[in-house]
Amino acid sequence: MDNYEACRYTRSMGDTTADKLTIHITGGASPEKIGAGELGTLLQALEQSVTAIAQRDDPDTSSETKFALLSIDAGSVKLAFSIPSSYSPSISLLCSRFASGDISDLPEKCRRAVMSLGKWCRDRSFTIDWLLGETWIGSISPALDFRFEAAPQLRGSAALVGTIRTVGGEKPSFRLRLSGGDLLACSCGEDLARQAGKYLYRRVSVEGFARNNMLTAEIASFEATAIALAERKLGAAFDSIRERFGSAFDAVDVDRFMSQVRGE
Amino acid sequence: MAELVLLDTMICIWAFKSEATPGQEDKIRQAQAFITSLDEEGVEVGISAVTLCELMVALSDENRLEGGSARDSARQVVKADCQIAGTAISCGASVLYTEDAQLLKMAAPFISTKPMPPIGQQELEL
Repeated sequence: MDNYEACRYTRSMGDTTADKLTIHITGGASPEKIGAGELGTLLQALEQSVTAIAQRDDPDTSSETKFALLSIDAGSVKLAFSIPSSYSPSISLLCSRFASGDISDLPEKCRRAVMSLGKWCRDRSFTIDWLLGETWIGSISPALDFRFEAAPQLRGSAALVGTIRTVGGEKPSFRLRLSGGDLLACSCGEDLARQAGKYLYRRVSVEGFARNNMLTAEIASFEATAIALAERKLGAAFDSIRERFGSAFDAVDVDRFMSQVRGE
Repeated sequence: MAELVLLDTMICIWAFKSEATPGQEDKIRQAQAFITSLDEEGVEVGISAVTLCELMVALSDENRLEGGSARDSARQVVKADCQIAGTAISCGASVLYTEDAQLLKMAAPFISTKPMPPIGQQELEL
């Protein structure tokens, strides 16, 4: 078990302790050169870059967890945050990609955030040093050119089943908790968003168009076109299939069939 | 979030049947009672794409495979077993239920893998 795996294991054991993450902006940065709004955008990207990895690796990671600002030092360009210890492996993984700049294996949300951090450093000729505890773990320098190989995507109609967890936003959308635990953002029209609001916390089936990453089969985006309640009726579903196709299945000798299709 | 379990092909076919192949009568009762118990427990149930394909093959007249031959058997088994176990793991299933002895053995180190519980013990097993 390497360090990253060990940390993930610790997270899965319900670790609730905190670590310290320090961000030090160097290269001539000073408060008058960084506006408050710009700093806000920067910190948002910083948080997003880490939480996207944490949520990918552990679907139970709360989207409410935030970095807590502990201190501002060294001319207001050294900021220390208290972070859940469970985030440390995500930070280590992220910083390990700074050496090469290849972020192909990181989640899309993380890549977007990292690209914006990289652009900010390039535009300003600043460097962002990352320290976990007191240990330097990586830097985003102006020379660093982040890149990733965008996987080809396949668009097709799809139907998903899950529970609506949140609805709304500037653009009409809702978030669906899928059976496997993933939280999927679904774009939709305003009418459908209103309908999703009525079904908040209910189990629904959603029809629409999905863009799947062809390498990982992950859903990169989902555009919903219809929602219906999907109260679970497992027994009824099996009864329905038995009623319609039971006679065809009756003709199947299970042991022989399995032996033939799987070659056992 | 409800627990998710994955059902393998044999269990689905037995649950869909109404007439048993001689000697497999108990399996139908067991599978149907198992589905009922899963329903009552509120467990999420999934099947893999491999199982979906196999069910469609089972329904297809020309693929009833009477007297068919095993094709490149070792390779087919490895592919199907890995795909089903991989689906269960990647979907976050807590248990893979299968009556396939080879799949039981192969998947066990990676995910909780069990045969259908006997009738009467199904609630206990869940």
